[in-house]
Amino acid sequence: MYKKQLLLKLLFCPLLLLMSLSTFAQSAITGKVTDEKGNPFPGITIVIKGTSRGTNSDAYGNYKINAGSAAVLVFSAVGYAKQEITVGSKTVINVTMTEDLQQLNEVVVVGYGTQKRKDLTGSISSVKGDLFKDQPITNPIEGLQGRVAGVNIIQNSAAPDAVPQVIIRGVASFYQPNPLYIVDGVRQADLNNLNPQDIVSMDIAKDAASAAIYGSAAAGGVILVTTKKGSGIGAPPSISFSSRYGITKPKLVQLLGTPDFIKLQNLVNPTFFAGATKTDTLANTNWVDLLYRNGTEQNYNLSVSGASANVNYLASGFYNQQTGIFIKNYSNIGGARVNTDYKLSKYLTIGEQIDVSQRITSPLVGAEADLHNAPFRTQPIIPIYNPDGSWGTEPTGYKIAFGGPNPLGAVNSAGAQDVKNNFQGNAYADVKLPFHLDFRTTLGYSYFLETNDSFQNSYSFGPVASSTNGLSKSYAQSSQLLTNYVLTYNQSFGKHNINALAGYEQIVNKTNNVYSSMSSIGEPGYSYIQTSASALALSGTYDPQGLIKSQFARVNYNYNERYYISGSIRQDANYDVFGPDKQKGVFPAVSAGWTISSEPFFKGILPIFNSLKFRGSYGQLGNSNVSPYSFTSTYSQFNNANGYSVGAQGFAPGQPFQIANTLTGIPNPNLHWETITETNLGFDGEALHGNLYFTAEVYNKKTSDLIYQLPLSASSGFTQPYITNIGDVDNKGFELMAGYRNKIGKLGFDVSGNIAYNKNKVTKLSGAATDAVYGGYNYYSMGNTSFSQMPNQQLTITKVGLPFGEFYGYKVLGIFSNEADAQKQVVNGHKADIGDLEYQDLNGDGKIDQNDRQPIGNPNPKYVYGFNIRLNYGGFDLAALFNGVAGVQLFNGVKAYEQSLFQDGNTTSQVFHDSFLGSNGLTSQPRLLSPTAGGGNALDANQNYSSVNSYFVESGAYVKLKNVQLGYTFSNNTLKQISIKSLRVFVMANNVFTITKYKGLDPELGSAFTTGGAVNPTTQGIDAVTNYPQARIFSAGLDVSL
Amino acid sequence: MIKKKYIAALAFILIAGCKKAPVNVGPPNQYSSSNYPTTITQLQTVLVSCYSDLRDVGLFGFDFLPRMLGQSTHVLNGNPFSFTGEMASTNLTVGDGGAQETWNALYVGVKNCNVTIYSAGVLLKTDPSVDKATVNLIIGQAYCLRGWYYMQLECLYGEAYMQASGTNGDKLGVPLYTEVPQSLAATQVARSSVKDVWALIISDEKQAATLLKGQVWPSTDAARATEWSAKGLLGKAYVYTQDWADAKTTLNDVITNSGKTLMSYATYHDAFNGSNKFNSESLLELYIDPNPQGGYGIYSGSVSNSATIDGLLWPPVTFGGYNGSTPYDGTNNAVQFLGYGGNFYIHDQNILRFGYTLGNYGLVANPKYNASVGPTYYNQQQVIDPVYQKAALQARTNNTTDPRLYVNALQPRIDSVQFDGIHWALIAKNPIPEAPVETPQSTVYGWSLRKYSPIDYNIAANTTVTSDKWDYYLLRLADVYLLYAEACIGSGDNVNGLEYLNRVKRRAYSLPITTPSVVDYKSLSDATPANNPLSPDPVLGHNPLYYERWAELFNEGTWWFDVCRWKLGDSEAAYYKSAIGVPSPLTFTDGKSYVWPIPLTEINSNSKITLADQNPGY
Repeated sequence: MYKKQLLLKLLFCPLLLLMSLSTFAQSAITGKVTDEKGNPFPGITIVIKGTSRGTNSDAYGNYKINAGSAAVLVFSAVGYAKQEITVGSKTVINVTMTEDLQQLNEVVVVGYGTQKRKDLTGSISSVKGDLFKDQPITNPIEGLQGRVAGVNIIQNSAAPDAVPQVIIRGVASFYQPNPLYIVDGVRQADLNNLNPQDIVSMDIAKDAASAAIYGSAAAGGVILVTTKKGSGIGAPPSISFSSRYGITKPKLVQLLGTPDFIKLQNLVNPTFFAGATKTDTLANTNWVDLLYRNGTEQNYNLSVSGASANVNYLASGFYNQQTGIFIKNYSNIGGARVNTDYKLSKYLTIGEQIDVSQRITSPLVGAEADLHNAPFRTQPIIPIYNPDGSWGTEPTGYKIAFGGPNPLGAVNSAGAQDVKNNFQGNAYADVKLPFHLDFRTTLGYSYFLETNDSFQNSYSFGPVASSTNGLSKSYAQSSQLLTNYVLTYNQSFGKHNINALAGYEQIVNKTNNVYSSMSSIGEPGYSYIQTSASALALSGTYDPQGLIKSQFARVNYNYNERYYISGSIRQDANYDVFGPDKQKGVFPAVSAGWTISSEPFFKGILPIFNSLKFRGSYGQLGNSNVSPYSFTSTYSQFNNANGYSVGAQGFAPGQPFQIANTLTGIPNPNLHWETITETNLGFDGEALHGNLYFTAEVYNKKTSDLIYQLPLSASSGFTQPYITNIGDVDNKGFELMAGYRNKIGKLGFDVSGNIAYNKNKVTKLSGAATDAVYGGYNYYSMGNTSFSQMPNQQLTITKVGLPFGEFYGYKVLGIFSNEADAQKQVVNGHKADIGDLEYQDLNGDGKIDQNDRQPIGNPNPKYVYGFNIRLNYGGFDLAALFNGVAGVQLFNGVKAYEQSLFQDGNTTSQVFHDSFLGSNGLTSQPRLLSPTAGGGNALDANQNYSSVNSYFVESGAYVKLKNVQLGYTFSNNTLKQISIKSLRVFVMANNVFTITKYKGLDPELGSAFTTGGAVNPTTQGIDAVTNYPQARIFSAGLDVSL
Repeated sequence: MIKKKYIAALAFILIAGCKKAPVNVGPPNQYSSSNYPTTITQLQTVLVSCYSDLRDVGLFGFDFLPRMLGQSTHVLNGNPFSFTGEMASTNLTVGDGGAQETWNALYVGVKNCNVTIYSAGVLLKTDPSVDKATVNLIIGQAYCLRGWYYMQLECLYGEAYMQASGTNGDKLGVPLYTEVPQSLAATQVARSSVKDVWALIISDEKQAATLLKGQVWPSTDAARATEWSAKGLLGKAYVYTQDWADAKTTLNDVITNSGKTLMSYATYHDAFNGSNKFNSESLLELYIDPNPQGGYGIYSGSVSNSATIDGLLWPPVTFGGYNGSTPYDGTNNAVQFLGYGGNFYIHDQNILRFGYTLGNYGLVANPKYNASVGPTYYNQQQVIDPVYQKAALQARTNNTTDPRLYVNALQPRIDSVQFDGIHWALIAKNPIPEAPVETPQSTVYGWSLRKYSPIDYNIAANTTVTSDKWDYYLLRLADVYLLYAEACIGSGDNVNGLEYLNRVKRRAYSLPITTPSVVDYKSLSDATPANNPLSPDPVLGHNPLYYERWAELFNEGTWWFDVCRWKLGDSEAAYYKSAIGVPSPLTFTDGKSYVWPIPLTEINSNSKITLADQNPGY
């Protein structure tokens, strides 16, 4: 102990001596820092090169520092070119900062540390928060759309609390993991509650080598988020306020009005209105207009930040209010953040980030109140209200019958409030140790509480009625305690630069929830008032067993910032997802880089490039994105496909029911990690003094031991699938990003584009009886497979040699125009006619049946691209963001409803273009009515509209102008008088236009039937009636700094 | 100073601590399979799942009787919704949703029985002091029900019924699981031979009878299987496989020693709508509780109950009801279904087959109509022609129609129901298929189904009851009598055969059961009520065995098996002529339709059953 202290003293003494020596012969230097427009530039860091001494410019851009004549002052700020000025004889040094065109010096956040972009050997893309802070988004993920090659963001709904889907470099698993989100060094489940305006930058680790330091959590890529810190030592606090307000306009399908509806029924069901004379007295209700409206989006943000020599702080608050385009639907979120760092001594820094938020949502709920992007199961002849004031029902006296609900009544008979409370806090301590070591420990705690109250009133819509009401309430909390300890070594020996780290991380997850419901409550509302008729149900779980323990290490070495090599390794143990002996996984990575532009010979050959670097990497990641305890089998209450009704049984009148328990599945003790192995090659460069910048890479990503829910044979009696490792998937692709920025006179511009190609293929799938996995339905109502235009037919297949979720059905060769040809086709015992779809008879047996199904379209886009333009001229700035996909097919399931007649409901005017409907001859749309022997009509006998076939598969390629924004920043002189530092006003439009051949509402489609941004690989690209429609947003707003 | 900071940092680290890795984890809200069950009470809950599975949607819960057996035997006529059309035309596809639902539900039942037997073994091993007699009763019930599940499976999906001296025994039966599969490989099981399946059914029921021997359940456990349930099912298995000798012995044992007797006609008349549960004739009965506990019958999410909702699909239709506070006008313009409207009503040919000869009714102006009140369901402007009404009532009192017609069906404008549980109103002509306006003189009879149907409440709305009120008979003594008769006839004992057919018939006519009567069949080819001159049935019209099984067990889920055993598909199709929404005239495909297809989902998930193992014709 004594020895160690002595050693310390010995080490530090010369250092102190050196520092004291340098204070000799100093004089006071003053000056003013301005930006390119001549505005004072506060908060610029000014350091004497080679020392840690420095200061910051104050609010008026002024600074003062003592320095000797030999000293070199370094002026720096994020995003601006560093300037180095030798003091010499000067006592006043004024500096104009210019924006840094070279991105190579920017700092990139990597796992458990940072690196300069020029030192990277893996594939990491970065997006600055400034780029998207004024976009009308509440989820920062949306800000990445169109900006990063290889990161496919899908925003497929205008629901006010919609979470976009993120697919980085293709779908790689049936349990496709979301990216791992690391916010200020602490992992979080999602970014749904993070204020986009608090973000400085988002760095996306795309390849396995960059992500492997996060091991088993990183299979979906890693998105590292850095939030803002206070800056400007000594300056008064900086206050910023911004707000925006926008209108959301839905994109909708319109249904037939009463005259057209009757016209169609007279063709399809002539008995319905036969002999009816007073049809002009019938209602003509537009249910679409009743259920949809224009929504609004408004956002307010206020932040205060500042810094002193030892403390920097930022406090911010925001509130976002959105009303949905569907009636009664809204979601509001408000939150606050405090980030602080304290430099307690030269050797110890501590700090914390605290983020709290609350989101209150009124979701769509209710029996019979399912959302449909067009309510096909309605009839315009049904009035909103009956004359007696009850909800409108089918008018009597006609032979038409309606078995559905009054949709407006259904929506108004139920209500819900969902409250999500989020706390995220982390604290760290960073200790500088001797021997170039640095020890950092972080403690992160996150707490999430969601309460949900859902009330269903009694209702009566004629054929659909319930005389009892019911209320369900739930309370679900989860918490995560993360601790990590990281020891870093950073040293240079001559031209040898080494950065190494080792660490330990532990994550403890706990959940605690209760779900309750009561029927026949005494008063409508969100409180339980029990009555004699009430039935109660309760369930809840407390699970404190979630535990992950990890060790990791990484070494980065470079020689002369020219030759790079890096290696990392992580071991994770996940204790509740995998069984004994299968819990641990080891995930290694290596990478290397060569900055060829630093080679002396290079400058002679290609002087146009100011920088060019080649890099390559190899790494492995794990995926454990399966439910905990999938490896076990248990006894639990017996339930079947329709719920827990069978979970009890009575044995005599008046006796209490007895609970039924049974074994639920077969254990799989061998269940283990999916492993993703990825190689990546790329190069980064800049040319023309940094005006031109580009990156290109190619990767090969292989998932092995794919985890899959193998359905057990029905005869086994086990309805729960068997979770097992049975397959392999390949994703191969390349990515390009290039941009050009410059300034011509007063016009500054930066244009960039990115494109990514990915090919997805399942290479192994063994163990399933048929080696194929089916997915997706053309639902009318979520989950009801039989009440659909294509009842009980699955839409996609996944098997060896095909990509995930390829559409699967009959291949349409055309529409029959010749009766003789048509009669050769037999579908379900019926011979086809002119105007019917001609299906390919795969097995040539003369009849079209399920054996003739084949892959008919790929929903995985080959190309995903984006294009950004940013211009500024004087005070004006203009930004436009385009995004698009190409080489992709969609299943336009809505078309099946639009061009035919669904059950007892309605359709669109497209139906009148069907072949042989009314006076039509052969058209480009297949026939709806088939002639029968008796001279009547059968509905869709050839299953043109009720089978899964390629008539519904369309190209999903599109280009969207996702966001365009025009701003004006007022000049300094005007503002000074009202003591405002800066003021910018802007107008913007989101989702402005789409160029596509796709005939549905919008070609930007995510996975069907998933929530929370989850990706379901087998239900991608399905356009179903159940989708929440897309919308356009038109907004205006302002940013003010005080 | 530095030292202090180090200490602070170290303290910070220690706050976090380091959690010890757990050794063995499982979901905290479920029982671990490694140490369950530990008590008889826990084991009892495992047995409960063997019973409650009978209420699956694919069994008695919802679809099996109305949509599958009701349609394929034309008990019902109605909207061809999803697979119902395939059932009505007895022309299934391999993807048929009904065949799949039932297959799944039956095999879940088999699995639950196997789990019960397995966990009983676990309990006996882990706690040797456990009450073995009680464990045996639990195992016995599991065997009895496993036999029932397998018998349904084999009869629906087996390639053929086994016949006398083992004929068809080598054809393909259904896959057999005699224990709980413990690995993926154990879930891949090929189809067994027909004879092996029947051997297992017979062995299960024998074991059940042995284990349950002498057990008399208290009234609080009335729905539990007994020795006599097992023996009755055993006898049925013998009859279905034409083992007449064993069938006679076994069934006679049940008739003589079970203590069960045929109930009186009065009790029988009201034994299918919620009253007279666990009567003297019931051998195995699925207990249904009218209170769905806030759930929606079998579709009840997180709610457990003891409910079924078949009645929703085939409810009576009545003039009674109110539009707000205004009474319905007493015409077919406003009628109330005591469940879902527009699904199923009783097929008209059934009315004729029960011997009803009066045709359809006419309407006359109501002499008692009070114009100042206006037309209401209790003050109708038009009423049934009184002459017709009198004749129709006489047909009942004089028994010129089989009285069982009135157990099974409700006659428009003559029978009444309590549509709201309090008020009575007349039955309306069922407006299915396409005539909402009453057309009394038309050929459409439009009666409502009565057996297993809500007649004194509305199951779907305006009351708190949304479950069936009645129990379902899995086996009752009348069935045993008829099986015994069949076994006697099969073995050449026509005298006893005829006698047991007549005993069942005499009860229906409210006559002493063991005394010869005027309604007795004189021979095995004597005329039956189905020999109705309005639509004479060439097969059932002169076959008392066939007719009695049809009439006595109407809509109880047995006739389909008789049709298939006796190969009556063609004559049934010819007799019923048509069904709503399917091509007419009805046809039957002999080479295919007696057997349901092995569901595609099974073939897709079971590598030991390929398309080549599919039943013929599919």
